Order: sequence, then C-alpha cells, then structure tokens
Amino acid sequence: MNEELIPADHALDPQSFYTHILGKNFSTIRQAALSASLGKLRNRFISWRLFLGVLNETDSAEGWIQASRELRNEYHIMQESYKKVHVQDLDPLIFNPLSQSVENPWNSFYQDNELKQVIKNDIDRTFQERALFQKEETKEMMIRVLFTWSKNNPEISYRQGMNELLAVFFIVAVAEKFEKDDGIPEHAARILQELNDPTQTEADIYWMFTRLMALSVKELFLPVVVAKKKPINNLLSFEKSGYHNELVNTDKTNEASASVILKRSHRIHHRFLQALDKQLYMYIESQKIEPQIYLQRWVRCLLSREFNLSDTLVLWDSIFACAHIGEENRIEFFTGKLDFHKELVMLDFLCIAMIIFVRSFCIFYLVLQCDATGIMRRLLKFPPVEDVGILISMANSYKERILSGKGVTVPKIIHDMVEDDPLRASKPEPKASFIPLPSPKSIKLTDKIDTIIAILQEQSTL
Amino acid sequence: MATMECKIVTLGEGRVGKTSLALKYVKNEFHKDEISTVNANYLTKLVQIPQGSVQLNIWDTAGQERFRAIASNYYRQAKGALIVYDITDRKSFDKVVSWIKELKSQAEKNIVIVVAGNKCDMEKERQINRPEALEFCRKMQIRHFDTSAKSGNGVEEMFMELASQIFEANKGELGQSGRNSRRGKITVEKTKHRENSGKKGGCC
Repeated sequence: MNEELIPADHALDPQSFYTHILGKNFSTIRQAALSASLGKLRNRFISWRLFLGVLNETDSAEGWIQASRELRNEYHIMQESYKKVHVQDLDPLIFNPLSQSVENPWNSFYQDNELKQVIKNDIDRTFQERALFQKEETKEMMIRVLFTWSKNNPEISYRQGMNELLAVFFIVAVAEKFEKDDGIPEHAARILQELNDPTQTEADIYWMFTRLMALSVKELFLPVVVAKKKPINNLLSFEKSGYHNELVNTDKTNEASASVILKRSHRIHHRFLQALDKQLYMYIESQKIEPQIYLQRWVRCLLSREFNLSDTLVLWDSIFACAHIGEENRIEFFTGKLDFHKELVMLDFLCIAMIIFVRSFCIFYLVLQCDATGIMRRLLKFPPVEDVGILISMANSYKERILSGKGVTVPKIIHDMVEDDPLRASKPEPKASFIPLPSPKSIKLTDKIDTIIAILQEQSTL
Repeated sequence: MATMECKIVTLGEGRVGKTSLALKYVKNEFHKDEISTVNANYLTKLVQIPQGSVQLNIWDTAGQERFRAIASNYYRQAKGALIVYDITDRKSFDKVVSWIKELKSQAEKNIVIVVAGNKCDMEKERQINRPEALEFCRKMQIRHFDTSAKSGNGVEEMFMELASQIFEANKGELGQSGRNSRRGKITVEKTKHRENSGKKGGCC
C-alpha cells in the first residue's frame, strides 16, 4: 500500500517561518512543542535543528546560513573520504588481499562492505510501506549517512534502531523542503531557501542525527549489560540473593559505559516511577519485571516503535524542545544529576507517563491473571493513545514535580546506580504497605473485582 | 489437564525471519518487509498437544542482540529455543553453531533446541546444502525443520514439536511443582532452578 509521499498539511509554511523563526519567538515555539501543537507552525525541520543545537538560537539568520554551509561542506568531505577505498589502485604485489595484517587496506575494504551490508539489510525494511522509502536513491542516501556516522563512531558503529531515527528526520526534511516563498519578503525567502535546500537534505539530516546521538543517545545503543564475569552458579542462587538486577555477560569490552541503557532504565523505573507512583511501582516490582525489558526499546528508538509516525513527530517535538534548556535546569536529583544539555530528560518522563497511562490495566491483569504476562504484553505492545498530547502534559507535570521535589515520595534507597556499578545495586524490597494480591485459584471473580476496585481507589496518596 | 507454561526464545542472525516465523505461527500473519526487531517482541500462544496443553511465551529477539544481553532472567527461564537461519544466506547458517554453543553454556541443561532453515520458498536461491544441514543437526541431536514464514510450510509442525519436546522434558516437574505452586500455574523454571543449584555446584 503506497502512501502519499507527504500530506499537504505537513508542508513548509514560509509565513510562519517569517513570523516565528526569523522573529525569534523561541519561547512560543517551545511552548507549541510542549503542547503538541508545533506541527501547526509547519517549521519542524528548522525547529528541530534549533532544539538539537545543529543551529544556534543566539545566532543571526546569516549565522545559521554560514553554519549550515560549513556543516554541509564538512559532511561532503567526510563522506568522500570514506567513499574512496581505491582498492583498484592497490598493487597486489605490495598489498596482498589475503593478508590479515591490520594495516592491510583490503581488510578495511572488506569490513566496510560488511558494515554497509548490515545497514542495507535494515534500510531495505525501513518504512517500506511508504513510497518515499521504496526509492533506490532514498535507500542509498540513508545507507551513506549511517555508514558515515558509523565510521566516525567506531566504538558504537551501526546498531538496529538507528535506521528508524534517521528515517524520521528524513521524512521531516522532505516534507518541509523549500518550494515557494508564499510572498514573504525576499531576504526571508532567500534564507529559508538556503536553510531548507532540498539538495542538501543528506548533509542536514546527518548533522541532526549526529547531534541527537550526542545527547547521550548513542551510548544507549551499546549492549545492555557488561558485568564482571560471574560464575553461573551465582545466577542460580538468584532466588536467595533477592534481587534480579544481576546480569551476566562475559563480554568485557567497555565495562563502564556498556550499561548506559540499563542505568537509564533503572533511573526511570527505580527512581522516577517509585517517586511518582509508589503503589504502581511496587506492584510491578512484585512481579520482578526487569525494566529494561520494555524500556530498552522505548528509550533507544525514542518511542518511535510504540507510536505511529504522526504521534512520534509530536512526541519528539516535546523531547527535543527540552534539550539544551538553560543552566538553571541542571538539577541534582537525589544523588544523580539531570542535565538537559547532556541528555533528553523529557524522554524519561514520557516513559513514566506511558506506564502510568496503562496503570489500571496493569493492576487489572495482575489481580486477574496473577502473573506478569499481561503487564509484559501491554508494555511491549503499547496501546494506541488517542491524543499523545495527554502523555506530553502528564510527562511535563511529572518533570515539574521531580524538579521541584514537590509531590514526590523520595525513595529511601538509594544505591547509586549512576556512579556505582549498577549491577551491584539492589533495590528496596517492596514493603507490605500495599493491598496484597489475592491468590489466584481460590478466589471468586467478584472478589477479584473488589480487590481491583480497592487498589484503584487507594490511588497513591500524592 | 494441567497447562504447562514455558518460555522460548528465538535466535539467529539479522533478517533470517525470526519475527516472521513467530508471527506466522501465533497470528498467521506474514509481512514481506517485517521491520527489524529492536530488543525483543513478546508473543504468547496456547498449544494443545496429545499429552496436555502448553502455553508458549515466545521471546522473539533482535538478531543484533546477544540474546542474554537483554535481561538477567532472560535465557535462564527459557525452556526452549528456536535457532533460525536463512537457506539463502551462508553466513546465517555458519552462525548456528555459535548460538548452540551459547545456549549450551548459558541456558539450562535440558533446554530444548530446534533449528529452522527458513525461507524454503526461495529454493532457487538456496546456498545451504540440505543434507549438510541435516547431518549437522543430527550430530548435534537437534531437530531440523524446513520452514517458510511466507507460505507457512513447516511452521506449525516445528512449534508443535518444540512444545511436545518441552512437555516431555519437563513433565517430571509438572506434578511435583503443581502441588506446591503458589500461583496455581506450573512454574517450571523455579523448581528447576533449585534442583540445578543443588546438583550442579560449581561445575560451570
């Protein structure tokens, strides 16, 4: 089923560019992003570049043009340099193609081809229902961008999920390419034409992707866990030790940073969720559901896997709008630091909003089924949300509550998962201060329903 | 008759058809361009076999993830594993052996493994000699199935075989844990652990 390339209501609006972007109404733009209405301004492509720091808000429009030119140029130089392997120029008498030597250019040639193939495998199945992505030139362009990024970031390289993040940028760039000036003043039209130049899309989305990755996103793609090597019998005594955060992996590379996704999942679940909805937290904990099981995909793909494209755009508006906001928002949270210049903090709160959104479902299934499968299914296949603006509002208010410290239960913990080895971190055992779940078979359905109602009525005392 | 609940994981290189096989089996759906899996998908299906019923909780993993890297209790509770390769992709077959090794060293001793040579609707592009694959699996004492998530060939049969082998391998615990079960469902994994931890000591 082919879809229209871009619906008309996603096209660029030059008037709005003139008023809001050139007029530098950045607080209006941010406000729009946080109230799910940035789409109406139809200048998402530029707004995102500003939010992500590809373009600097404090620069003049001429400065944006200058910066864009430099970045585009830099991209083309990089891209060219990776393109040239010149194997045909290599003298087989000097460079034996079969030599395993590290310096052998043939080896990097083979490795590069392998990397390209891995990327291609995923690009061939990225948004394939859309005509835009079925075009060979789109596919080749996406492969070039991801290949260039991977070569520049060999410690991470290409990981599944990056293809989709890039694809979203591409969709936005194509939707808002400059076509006509709509009667805005000539100088404004010239600036817009340069900034949204359709011939520069590839370089522009490369830099958006790069800046996004730099906001602690690329580390999220490292393997979930790399712990100190543990003998297997430790694992089997898991029941006794009482916590389920222990993970084994004998892969010893990058010990310190490899578990970034795990730390992030733990922060969302053990800190934020516990602080904001202790009751729900304890019910989920009682089922020993490891938060990374569902949060890994939510966080890595910036929720794009859980929602359709238009909802994803709206959610990303709010996530990006909170990136790089002022110094005063660097706050200490318990022992950890929330730094809006370093990571996409809003993403954490959207995850919390999503969990709380399906709160009654979770409790319903816990009581009726008495096991974790219902919750798992729900979280791994999140239901459609009629208006994602609700999630953004919820996330915003949770963010405010955490930042102000008002209306939160400060967890008693806190094993420091941020600084210490996260794998050693245990959590507080859920106390029996919540309505216990009934034992399954013995109880009548009506009693179960009563329990559900009691639990839901007991709502956290916040 | 009791229902046995068990977790199975899908393993294999990227784009061999892990998700497609699981989806074909559970939902009878097939998408030509199934998106790449990030992390894992989770699907469940209740299977009736002559000996009883088995609820399969299928953890369908991303080809790029090492399967144990997702969560600690991820493979530990797995009663069965489905290793998939693509008959049109030599490399994916060569990796089967390393998945088997990983399972043998990391998963429970009695984990049931089956191997699927997927995309058998694309016979013309076959790169893996069928007798070679069969011989390899025979040596490993693992059942091999020719499957096509597209046509559905072999899919039902393979999961049925997996379910009934798991049932056979774990029926000992069925009665035993059934009596003690707090939950009323048979939580095979837990009783199994205690046994293992007692017997195995520090052997691995």
